[in-house]
Amino acid sequence: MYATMKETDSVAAARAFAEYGAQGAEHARLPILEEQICAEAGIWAPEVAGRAARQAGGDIPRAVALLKVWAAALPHVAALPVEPADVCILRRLSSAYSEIPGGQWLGVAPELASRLLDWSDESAHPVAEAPRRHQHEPEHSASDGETGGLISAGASDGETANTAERAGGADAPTRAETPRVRSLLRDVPVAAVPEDSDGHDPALGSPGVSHDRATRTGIMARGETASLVAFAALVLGRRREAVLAEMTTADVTVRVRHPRTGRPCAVAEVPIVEAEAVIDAEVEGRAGFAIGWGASLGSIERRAISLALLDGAMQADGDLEEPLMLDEPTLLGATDGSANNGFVEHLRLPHHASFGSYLSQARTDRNGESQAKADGHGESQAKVDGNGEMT
Amino acid sequence: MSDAPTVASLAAEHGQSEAYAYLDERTKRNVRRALLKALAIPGWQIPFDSREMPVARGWGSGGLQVTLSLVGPTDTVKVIDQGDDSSANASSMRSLISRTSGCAETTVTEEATIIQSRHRIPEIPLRGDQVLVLQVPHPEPLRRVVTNDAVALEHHAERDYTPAWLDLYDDEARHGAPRTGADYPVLVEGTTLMSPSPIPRYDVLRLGNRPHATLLGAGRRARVAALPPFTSVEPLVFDDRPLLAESAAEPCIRCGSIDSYRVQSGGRYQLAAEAGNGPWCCSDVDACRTRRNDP
Amino acid sequence: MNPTSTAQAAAAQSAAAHAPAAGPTAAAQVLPPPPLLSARGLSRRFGPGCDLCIELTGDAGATSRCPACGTVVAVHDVSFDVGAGEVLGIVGESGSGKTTLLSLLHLDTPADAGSMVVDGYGDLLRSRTSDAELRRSAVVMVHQNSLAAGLAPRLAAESNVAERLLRTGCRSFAEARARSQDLLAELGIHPSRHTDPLETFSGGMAQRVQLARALVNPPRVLLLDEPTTGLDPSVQADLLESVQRVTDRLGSATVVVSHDLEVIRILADRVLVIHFGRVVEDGIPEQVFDDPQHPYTQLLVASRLR
Repeated sequence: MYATMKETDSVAAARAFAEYGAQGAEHARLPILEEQICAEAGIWAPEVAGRAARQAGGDIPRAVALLKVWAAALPHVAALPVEPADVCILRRLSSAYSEIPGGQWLGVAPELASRLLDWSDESAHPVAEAPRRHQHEPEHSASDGETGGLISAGASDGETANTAERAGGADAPTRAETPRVRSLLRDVPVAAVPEDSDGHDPALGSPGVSHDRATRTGIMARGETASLVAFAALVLGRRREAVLAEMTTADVTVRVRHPRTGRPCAVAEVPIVEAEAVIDAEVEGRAGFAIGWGASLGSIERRAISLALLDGAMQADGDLEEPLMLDEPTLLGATDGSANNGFVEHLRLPHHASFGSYLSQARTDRNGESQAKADGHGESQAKVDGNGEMT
Repeated sequence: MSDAPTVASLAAEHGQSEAYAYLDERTKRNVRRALLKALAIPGWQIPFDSREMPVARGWGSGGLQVTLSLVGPTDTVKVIDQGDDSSANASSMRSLISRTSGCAETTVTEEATIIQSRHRIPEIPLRGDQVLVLQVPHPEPLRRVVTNDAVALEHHAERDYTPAWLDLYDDEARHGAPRTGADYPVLVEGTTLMSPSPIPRYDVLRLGNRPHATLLGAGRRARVAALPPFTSVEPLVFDDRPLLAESAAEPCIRCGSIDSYRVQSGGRYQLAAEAGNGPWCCSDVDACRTRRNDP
Repeated sequence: MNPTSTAQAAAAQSAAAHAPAAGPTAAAQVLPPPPLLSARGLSRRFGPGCDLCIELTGDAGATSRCPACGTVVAVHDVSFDVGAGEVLGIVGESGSGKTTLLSLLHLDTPADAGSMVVDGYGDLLRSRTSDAELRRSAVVMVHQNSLAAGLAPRLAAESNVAERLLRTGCRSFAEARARSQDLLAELGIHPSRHTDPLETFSGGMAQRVQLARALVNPPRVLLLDEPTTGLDPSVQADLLESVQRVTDRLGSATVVVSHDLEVIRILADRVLVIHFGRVVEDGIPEQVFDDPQHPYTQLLVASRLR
């Protein structure tokens, strides 16, 4: 994370943006575009990203480059690992189970907004917006209900209403009191997650040729959105099973040590989207799962889903040694953006019935050795729970 | 039926810029022709001009195009997602269909004339006057074992499914059972290999010899396939290794059924300490409700 | 009957009908059994060709490249018969034409002239059955490099063997498994390794898997291309013994190509020596190796002894 230590002209301008918002500018905000630029540049500064986008004439790669160039000259302060209690969850869903401990929160569901072009007067309609906790700007909170996709799934039928209808308000739960859905996978084999270090911050320089998982995850979190989605769609097309165990969008508080007292001080709140994908894998000769994890700045869910799929495939297939034929159907498929986006994002849909089918197959496994072996997996699962913290 | 609206009368009065049942007539005709061809060659994948739909590709756009090209003003449409009528994606498609075609909607399986479904086959048996439309993500059953579609087509042309048999043999030899859970490949009329869409094995075993037609639409891959009434559909299995349906540990907590397809929920409020997470429930919500009301 | 396998089953039936055909006739008692493979006048050249090609190549010109037009006469007028259970060895140095001859027999390269009659299939060079189909049932090759042989490295060893059975319509898992495992065990692969992925196998073991795959549906003609190249001597001897035992039992006609005279001496019942695309010597191994007639064979044997 970046934090400013010394004022320069560019820093002062950024501070002005941060303090006064975009009200000074008469330009229409495009929040998702700004998020994408921030995520790909690896710095959370949406107002600056908006400025970069305008100066680049809407050319996203150029805007990302402008932002990266600006960020490169800023002083860099190491942030502390994010505490689970500092992760305020605004939206949470699982496609693997209908009900999950802690509950599903659909919140603002961008995928359910209308996909039909609206020809009526533009100024009368709110722009698609990312989920945000509005506690610092209470005058805006009334607009929550108008952002289009705010819904509560299953509400029409009392017995399936499993979703609390709450938009990111002050009572948003934190990661600390919300268990991870992956911990429900106790009686099926799960591929062991390699030991993690803190990882190497890609903003600090080149981390060499071979990366541990944390470093790789950090590098890929800055990946170009369309490329991530294209590769994830390739992976997804060749799996037997892939479901989203859990996806959350959250506002997290970033803390750094106070230079004098050494106490953690909150310096920023950034939105984070995090996903955990469960894909089929062979674990010690048995059918089981690999759990892939991915997170990205902002709230663009397809980025996190793609990252989780790619991470999962790398664990399931030993660093993706699967040969990739660059033949015609692969190329045409990889470049079909709307098909890839739809395909990757469809993991958000419920998969309870098909996931139940794969679970049943993995459980009833396997040459008679099912139960004895399955019992041993509760412990190894508990170890996995520790990682996935943001650094 | 004299007072029922006709397509022409609806078209005359609605006066909207949008076509009847959303799709323009040329697209509907193209989908219908593809469906006729698909019905003529059961299980065979027929390409069609898949349009960009108001649902994302991969979200049921294929099933939606099939339904919209079939629906008329006197139809009653039911849309389910994983067996559930109230899923957000299912309800938005159901309302799009009924709004643009003027047809009725229902959640009751018996009342529906067209049932569009994602990943489940209704457990209440369908009649010959009903049509089942399945949403298909991967129409190519050989996709994992033959990654090139052109080569896969050659295998279909020669009815040579050795790669699929080999994959199955390897699963049986190394794991003692197929590793495929849902989307288990089926042989249609003993000759054509087809993806039945990611329905559970419980449903795969109920696909054959139905009195109704089953239409399968894959929007992202732009293909349709069909099973005419009373088509033989068998899972791809060895003679001495029959396909087993999923097992559920407990009866449905709502209706008490022990032979329905049930899935376990993750538990609502906290992590259950013991193995076994939440309760088991029927995944077909309407069938479960019917069993409760009329035991 | 499963309709997918109709074509293969019909082929198998016709093959079965041909096999005992020698039996019912009374004369069959006296006549030697017909050869499984009968090659006549097989020829292949690469290049435009001219009237002088044949005359100026071979022993006469001490080359296989025609000095007049540059055409390579790779194989010229090769004929032989191989009976059931019989092993024909073909020796020659690199460039002698033995590899081209093998690819003619495996239908990878079309012949310019000649015929190749396989019992039950007729002349393969003029068959209406697809080459791919013939390569699965009539002539099966065990390649020098098991990776090039179309094996699936990620699948279990026994799956690679069973593939041939599945292709010909075997739909009983127990039967496919028993036949694959029995053959693997007979070829010296321990049962504990049958379900291991092929990529975990050493070269010699992978070669055994390839051999088992070739023999699980016993073909009429088995072609072995340098079966022991790249293996260390103890593995070689062991593998050759296995090959001998299995081919004896299954009764296929076997053609083995090698530059290694020792391999040929162990395996072969008869030997062809190929030089500049021609057969220069033909006989039983003892005769050819102990009393070579042709100067080239003498050279070959002498170099081996040094």
